[in-house]
This record gives sequence, structure tokens and C-alpha cells, in this order.
Amino acid sequence: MGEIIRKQGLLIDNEKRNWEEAIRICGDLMVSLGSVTGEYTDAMVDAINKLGPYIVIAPHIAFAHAQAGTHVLKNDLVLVVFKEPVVFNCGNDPVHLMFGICAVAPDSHLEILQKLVEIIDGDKAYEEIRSCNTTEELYKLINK
Amino acid sequence: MSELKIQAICGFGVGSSTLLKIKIQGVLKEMGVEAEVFTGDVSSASGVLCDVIFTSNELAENLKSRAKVPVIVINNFVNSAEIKEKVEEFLKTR
Repeated sequence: MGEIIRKQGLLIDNEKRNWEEAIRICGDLMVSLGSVTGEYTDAMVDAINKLGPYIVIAPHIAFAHAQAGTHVLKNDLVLVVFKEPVVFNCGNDPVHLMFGICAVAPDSHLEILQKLVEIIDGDKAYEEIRSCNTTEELYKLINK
Repeated sequence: MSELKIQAICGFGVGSSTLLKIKIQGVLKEMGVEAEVFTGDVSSASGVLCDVIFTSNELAENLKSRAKVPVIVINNFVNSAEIKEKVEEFLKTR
């Protein structure tokens, strides 16, 4: 399998965070990689304030994103592993893995999502990803 | 019976709904069921023609009041077993 998330797109965070801080960390990472502008991060936070924590799509896994094509500079996928639990007040709490995704157009990122689905299918994958302590380990696991 | 149209919904019709679409397509393929699966966003979803809507718990309440088709809640978007069970359940009602 080819590279799904590059090393710069992986981050391990050891601090206690609330959901908004967690999303902003994920957004800042995407900004630093030149994939989105800061407004995209704001839009991800606004979406949760407006629609609820629907981005927590599976137990312990959040899928932070906003609208395709708006404030997006290129397609990207990043992952932040939160060692401390992040609470969103939803049935799939607490969150430990946050994938950040941005797309220049709807469906333009389908291929990368398809690969992601293969990685995170099953409970075992979650445990393995969560227990990584370095981005090196994380990189090997995600792109194996 | 015309081809089954399944709409997967998230806030913007981009991220989580695309993931859900991929999972539903996988399940349908495994079951040998032909269907068109597409994504939509929560604000325009109820106006789009489809036979059933799949979405998350948080968005379902918002949709149920407006949608004219069944709204099915998926708690775990990466769990094929849950999605398969709920697709099977829906197909029985057709």
C-alpha cells in the first residue's frame, strides 16, 4: 500500500484537551502543511456548534472536516492521536483519534478515504494506533 | 422495482458521509445488492430523491422531522457489521 498519511501529517498530543482545542490542533496542523487556511479550522468548530458532535463517527474516532472547496488549498488527510481522552458529549466518547480531512471538491478525495477505511476497520486498528508513542511508529502502522 | 437509491448524510456531504458511502457500497457488494449510493449534506438532504437516508445519531433528529423516507442511524461508521445489519433490516421492509 502506498503512503496514506505523510509523516508531517501525523501528531501525538499528550495534553488534556477539550473538543474545541482538539479540533484547533488538528486544523493548525493542516494550516501548517499548507492544505487549508485558518478559516477552515473555524468552520470545523462552527459545524459542531451548529450540528452537534456528528463528526465522532465511531467509538473513539472523530473525523474533523468542513465544506469541500471552501478555505481548502489542496486535498489532505492528517491524524492527531490524543493520549488524553477528548470529550464531545456523544455516544462514541471519549475520542482518541482525530482524522482531519479537507477536499478541494466533493469526491476528489475518495481514493484516500477508501484507504483510510481499510486502516480503521475493526477495533484492533484503533487500539494499535492509539498505543503508538512516536510519530515514527504511527507512520509505519498507518502506511504498512 | 427501480434501482435502490441510498443517501448518506453528514454536515457537508464530504467527510463522514463519504466514509459511510464507501462502507455501504462495500456491504451491498458483499450482499450482491445493486444500488446507487450517494452523499448529501444535512441542509439539502430532505429535498433529494432517495429511498432511504443513512446518517449519524446527531443529525438524524434534524432529518427525521423533514425527510419523507426512512432515516437510519449508524453509530459506528467503520463497523461493517452494524451497517450490514441495518441495510438488511431496511431491505426487508421493501
